Amino acid sequence: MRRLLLALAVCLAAGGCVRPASTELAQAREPACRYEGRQGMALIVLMAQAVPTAGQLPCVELLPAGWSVSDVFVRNGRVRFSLDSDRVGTRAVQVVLERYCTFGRVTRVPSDHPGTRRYQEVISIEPGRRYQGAIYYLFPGGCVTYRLDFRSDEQARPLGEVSLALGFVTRDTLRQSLNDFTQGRVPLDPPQEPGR
Amino acid sequence: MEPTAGRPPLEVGGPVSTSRPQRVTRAGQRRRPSGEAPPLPRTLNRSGRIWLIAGGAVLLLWAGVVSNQRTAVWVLEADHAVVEWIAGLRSSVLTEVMQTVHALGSRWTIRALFWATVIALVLLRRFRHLFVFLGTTLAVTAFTGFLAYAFAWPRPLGVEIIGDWSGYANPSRPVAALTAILMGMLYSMAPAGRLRRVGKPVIAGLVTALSLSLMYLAVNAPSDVIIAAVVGVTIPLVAFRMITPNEVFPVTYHRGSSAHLDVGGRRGQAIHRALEDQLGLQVAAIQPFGLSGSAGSTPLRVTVKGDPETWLFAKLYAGSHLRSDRWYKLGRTLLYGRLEDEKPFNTVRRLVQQEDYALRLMYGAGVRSPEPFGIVEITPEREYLVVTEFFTDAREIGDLEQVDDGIIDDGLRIIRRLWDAGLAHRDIKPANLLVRDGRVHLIDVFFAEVRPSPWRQAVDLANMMLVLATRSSCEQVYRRARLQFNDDEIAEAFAATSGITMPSQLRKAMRDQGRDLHAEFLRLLPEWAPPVAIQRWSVRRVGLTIGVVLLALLALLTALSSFESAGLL
Repeated sequence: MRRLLLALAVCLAAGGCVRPASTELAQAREPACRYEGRQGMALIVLMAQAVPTAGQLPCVELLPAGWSVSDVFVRNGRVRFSLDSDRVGTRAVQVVLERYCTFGRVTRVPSDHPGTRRYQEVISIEPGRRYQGAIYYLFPGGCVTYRLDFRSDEQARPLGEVSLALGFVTRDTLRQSLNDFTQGRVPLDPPQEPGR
Repeated sequence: MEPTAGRPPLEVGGPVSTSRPQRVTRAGQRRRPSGEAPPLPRTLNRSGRIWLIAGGAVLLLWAGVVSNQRTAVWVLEADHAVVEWIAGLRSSVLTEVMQTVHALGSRWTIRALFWATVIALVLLRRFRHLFVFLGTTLAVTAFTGFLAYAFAWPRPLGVEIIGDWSGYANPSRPVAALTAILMGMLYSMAPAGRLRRVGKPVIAGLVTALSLSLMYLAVNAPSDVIIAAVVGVTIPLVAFRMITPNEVFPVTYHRGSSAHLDVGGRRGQAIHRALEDQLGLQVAAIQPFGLSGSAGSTPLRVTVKGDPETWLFAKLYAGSHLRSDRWYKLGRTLLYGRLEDEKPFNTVRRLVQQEDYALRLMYGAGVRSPEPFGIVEITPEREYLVVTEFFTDAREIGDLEQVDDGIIDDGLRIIRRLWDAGLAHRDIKPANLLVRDGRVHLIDVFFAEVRPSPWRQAVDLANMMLVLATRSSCEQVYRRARLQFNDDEIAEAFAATSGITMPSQLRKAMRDQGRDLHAEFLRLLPEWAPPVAIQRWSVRRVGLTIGVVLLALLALLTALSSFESAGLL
């Protein structure tokens, strides 16, 4: 018994047991837009709670081959997750959701997601080696930033893959999804106070 | 060198005889039948078992609840109802109070409590408690992190959250961390008894206050804080009770060696029962005895009923002594290379068997040492008593004003007898030499070695001469020694002994007198032998040193990374 407890303590201390063995469990905890046919996973609900004003919530539509999600972090006021690529490097894309964004020298471009305004910024280009930039999506009550850092001679293809991989779930869709799950017994947001 | 050339007859200084032990009244022994618990069983007590079962059951039940949609919705609904009701009580003053209470679970409060406890335990040299505290805190933070990830439970729904939070809600990590650290502080810093009893409701109060504030601020729901409290209590409680049971590792603040175990309470009763059952002794009292002279066990004086009452001497050995012995030997191997018999014991049973064997060997060889009475089992593989004759009316040689030629001859004769029997005592110091009726008795034979090296035997001689000289003069001891040992043997003895080979009590006695007895003896020698180096370099020692350094670094890095991921750095 004592050895078992010690082994457990060592195992936990070493962090070996913290990471789930099951890939399925890990996938279920990714910020996926859809999981088993339902829109809005537990993580998306948590994101909605972190930025309660956000009308849109960033999520992963479909990960192209070679891409994976990492560094998921959610706290009140801020949500962050990263996409790693086996070709353009780890943390090639960092997705941040906040109430407000701070822009650099941006250019407005047509948005590929309805209900949002899109801005782009090129931070630095090292031809054939590295590309750093940012994409901003503005929408009522929130702002999502994609910080891009491609360590590769490729730029166009990974950018296209990112655009396909990332998407949004609207708060209304999430609200409806939770409503279906709880049969209307537990709401996502507090009731709106009159005049707010 | 001629080892025994010119050796005088053994009768010098009087006849050799072992003392006759007093007659100890013994009744019938009782064999413990199969299945009966040992005198001091090593178990969790009732509340520990209840917490372990309750903790496991709650977690299993909870895992079942959250994995089923129907029950999960039911819990979400119940949580929502409670948190919504509490949120309905919000006012600006109450919110300010709750924000302040919320700081109890802040990262900085947790860090301050954690590191303050670590520093206190290091200063108190309570390392076993320290390691359990570190282990349980890390285990609780890692386990709650894993559960939160597995359960993926949202923050309270349908209510405005007005406090700071991060990550999934269930179990509440601030509640679990605060509970675990407070429990660790209680079990490692507060002595068992009133203080610990008072501490439990205080912890309950603090954890409840934090939980209420978290629910008021809608950071957590009732189920989050309940599961966290169960984890936060169960892991430290079970770990401390299993690894540092109070009977074996009591938390005390009186001065004294950590080697000395408490022999009151349950352990005292167990010792009584074990002595009666296993040796057939009718025990009247058990008292600690001569604690200052012993650092590797708990020495006891056992009063045996009879007419008249008689005394026995007993040494209590436990797992802590076994570990101390291991560390001591590892340290010596790293510092000096492998001296002799530096292999550690594997079990407490082996350790007491060695002492009992050495006692019997000495006694059989005619060395005036205590008669062995046997080994008594207190907790199988964990605690044993070695029982011997008690030298009534004997005084430590260091407590005498002066020693005469008779005592000097008697002390030296013990060394001669050890040499002849192929033995070395290895711990000749004032506390281990008792004088009764003008006769020297040798006690504490734990370190005794069979067929030791000539170097080890020479060290025994030098240390005996040094001890005797602390209560006489070097000239007198040297003169008497030449009656039993030749000049070469004495020269070899002083070439072999230096610094570390002298027991610390002997070094202190010489320091207190302001005399360099070793140098005084060297001046008396007609010829000096070249000093015998004690540093032994070997591939094993180098490899062991590198291994220990690498392991220590690895442990440090692992600990730092674990502290960081647990938010404690």
